[in-house]
Amino acid sequence: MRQKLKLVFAMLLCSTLLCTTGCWDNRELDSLSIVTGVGIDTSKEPGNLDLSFQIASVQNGSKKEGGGGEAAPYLIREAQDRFVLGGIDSLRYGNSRQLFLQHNQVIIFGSDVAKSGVKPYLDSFMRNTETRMEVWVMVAKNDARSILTTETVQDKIPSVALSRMIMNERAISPYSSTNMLQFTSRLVDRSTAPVTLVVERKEEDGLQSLNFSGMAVFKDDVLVGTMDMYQMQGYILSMGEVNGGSVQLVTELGNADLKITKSICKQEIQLDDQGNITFKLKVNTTLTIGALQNFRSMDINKVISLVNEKAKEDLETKIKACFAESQRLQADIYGIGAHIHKYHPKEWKTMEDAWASIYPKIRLELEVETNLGSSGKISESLNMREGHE
Amino acid sequence: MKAESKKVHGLDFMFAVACYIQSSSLLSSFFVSITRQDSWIVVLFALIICCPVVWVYARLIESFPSKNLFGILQTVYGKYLGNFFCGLYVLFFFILTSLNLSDLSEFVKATIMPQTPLVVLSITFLLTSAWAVYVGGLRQMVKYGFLMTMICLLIVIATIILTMNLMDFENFLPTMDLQPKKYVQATNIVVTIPFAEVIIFLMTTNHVQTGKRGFFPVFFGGVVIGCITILLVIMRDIAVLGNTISLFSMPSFETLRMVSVTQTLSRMEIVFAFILIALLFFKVTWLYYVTVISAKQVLRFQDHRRLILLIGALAVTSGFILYPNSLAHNESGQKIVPLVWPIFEIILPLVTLIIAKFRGMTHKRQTGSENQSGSSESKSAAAPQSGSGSQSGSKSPSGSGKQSDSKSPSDSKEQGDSKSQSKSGSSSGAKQGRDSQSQSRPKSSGSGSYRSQSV
Repeated sequence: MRQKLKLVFAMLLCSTLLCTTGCWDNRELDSLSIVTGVGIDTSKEPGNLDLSFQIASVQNGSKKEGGGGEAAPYLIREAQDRFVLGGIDSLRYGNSRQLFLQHNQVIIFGSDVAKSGVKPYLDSFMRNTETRMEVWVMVAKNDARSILTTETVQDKIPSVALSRMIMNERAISPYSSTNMLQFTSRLVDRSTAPVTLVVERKEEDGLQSLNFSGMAVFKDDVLVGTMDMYQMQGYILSMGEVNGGSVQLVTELGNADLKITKSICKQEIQLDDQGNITFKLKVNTTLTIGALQNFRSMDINKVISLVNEKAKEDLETKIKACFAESQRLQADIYGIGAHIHKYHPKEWKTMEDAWASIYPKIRLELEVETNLGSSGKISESLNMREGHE
Repeated sequence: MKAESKKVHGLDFMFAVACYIQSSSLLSSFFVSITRQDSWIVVLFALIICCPVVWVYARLIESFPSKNLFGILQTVYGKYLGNFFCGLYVLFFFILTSLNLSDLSEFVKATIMPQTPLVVLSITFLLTSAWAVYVGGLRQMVKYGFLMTMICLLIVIATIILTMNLMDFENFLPTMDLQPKKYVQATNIVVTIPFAEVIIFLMTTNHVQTGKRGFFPVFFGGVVIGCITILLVIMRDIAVLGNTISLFSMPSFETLRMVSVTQTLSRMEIVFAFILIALLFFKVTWLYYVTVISAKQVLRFQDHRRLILLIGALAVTSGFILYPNSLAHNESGQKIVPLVWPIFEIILPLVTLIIAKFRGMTHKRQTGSENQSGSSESKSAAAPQSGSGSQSGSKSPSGSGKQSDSKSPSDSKEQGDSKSQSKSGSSSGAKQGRDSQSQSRPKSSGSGSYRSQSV
């Protein structure tokens, strides 16, 4: 009896193994459309979205849409729907493969969608178990579709190219680029305004390229303004550590192109008894001379002193311009409110509801120190030599 | 699981307790959504509150060294009330088994196999657990617990190192900024759901040999190791996810999905999924085993193995009936369970201990040698409790099917004179204890004990 029971049980287990081999979830590579980028634009039909899915071509033989027969490594699948999930679902009817979002690199919002609020669309991606929170979120200067259809030269798939561009940007500073987790975190925080990179498509001499043109500033989930690269540099310099970038100076005596080797910023937020808030920034930047033009007949030490002074002024202007713009937009991109919430929770309770009106009244105290560390392989420029004996 | 002829070492038992608590790390969303960045403090509060609870458990076991939880309840409350409480506990263990089986299946479905029907996953896990309950042994099970505890700790530490670049320690601020009632609610959840669930181990403590130090260090050690693991997991998740932690139904899994040290060292969540499945399997198997042996004891079955598939089928079915979806489960985990479970986990054991104390049923903690010999003396009670029932006529502990007419000491005058019984046990030693297994006869069937079923 016991032996029989054992046998029955063993057979039952073996049949379980045979019946439940995970066939329901098998996904072969040739049955998947691997999405590398998603673009969301407003549709001409009110209330609808134009969704563009960039799909990496597994076999490098697909034809680019509208192209001259050249093989392209990606396809663009488009859908029109009120919801993101609905769009994905509608593509089932016109696609032999299933969309697979695990390897999605970027979510690009068209500027129109961003101006109307992005929360409803982020919700779809956050719920989807395939989407990762590390996916990059960005805003297209115009429409998202044009970004995904750009013929990038080096990295053939635009979304992959964008992802690599962001990694390069993050090597300099991690503060301007935002992934879905960081974006959501700022949305949950409510006082801190999310920022993302703005990407635009450029075309010169028939050659297309993608370019970061600045930083999009959101208030809650609505795009309220964009900052140019000048202001964006001011932002990243005031947020913490920066490991790159350049400072271009134009003076009456000559021009200089300086490279930022390292910049460290220490933030301090002070609250006085009257409830006034002071945002103190201490920026210490080390620069090297990348190029000197003119400064005819001047001594190198004098040039360095002059350039150092001008660089300091330049950085101060950038940081102040960025701060002023954020106050104009009433968007706390620095997380000052979050800082007060964390370190002065009692005071924060009185400020929380009126934060949008308090933020523009915050006083900025800025202290910038610049050090010209190195002049490169040469000291004096060729122009400077001209005046000497 | 076979009834054990040898005792389980206290240290092994401690790691089994630890592993059981570690396996609950998936359920962090129950309280993380309430206390958010302060959830780690709540885990510490829960540990402090668990201290007296575990002491009550330990005291209860040491007061009735040869009995498991049901034996104690029947001794203290008598035949009818004792059986009533035992019945309630069977229901409690059964619901726990069902819910955890459901959690395990839903986790696998949500993370690895989204297309596979839930019922297939549930049945597959249950059959594997059933196999473990049928042929496994308590000793093997606790060894598995030690291994899993160590692997889990290593993986948690490794993931902390791998997510270091994503951590922001300002995410822990502000501390203690929420309403006090939220801390109370969350602490209650942590105490109730993972920590005090270790009451299930009271069904097997009569197989454990703890030595001189008694049960408290064993139990509490396990709770502390489990607590440290959960604390590390929660702190890691808060540091990585920040204020978004309250949004996710599985924060730990989302944290692991963020790991991206290099292109090659990314997308490692599958490692976490495997360890969590293994831990949850351990938990489900323990719960399943305890449910089976407790049902056997209450229903007076001769062989617990006859109940394995029946209870398993009921557990799978009720898993689909208890909650319509995971949101309802979450809601219940936050609002209903923390109010109901403490009745079984804290109030009943405490009341039992107090009553036992007032009725003079408790006796001083035994020394190591007494405990050991007392335990071996109690084999007739202990082994059949898992193998074929302490209050019923039993098969031999080896489960060979050879029947004996032995009766457990709990049937005898132990409830009235347990002290003298333990003394005789200590003096007789292990060998005599084995002899007594076949020689002992029931002496009474008064209140506190019940007549065994003839075989």
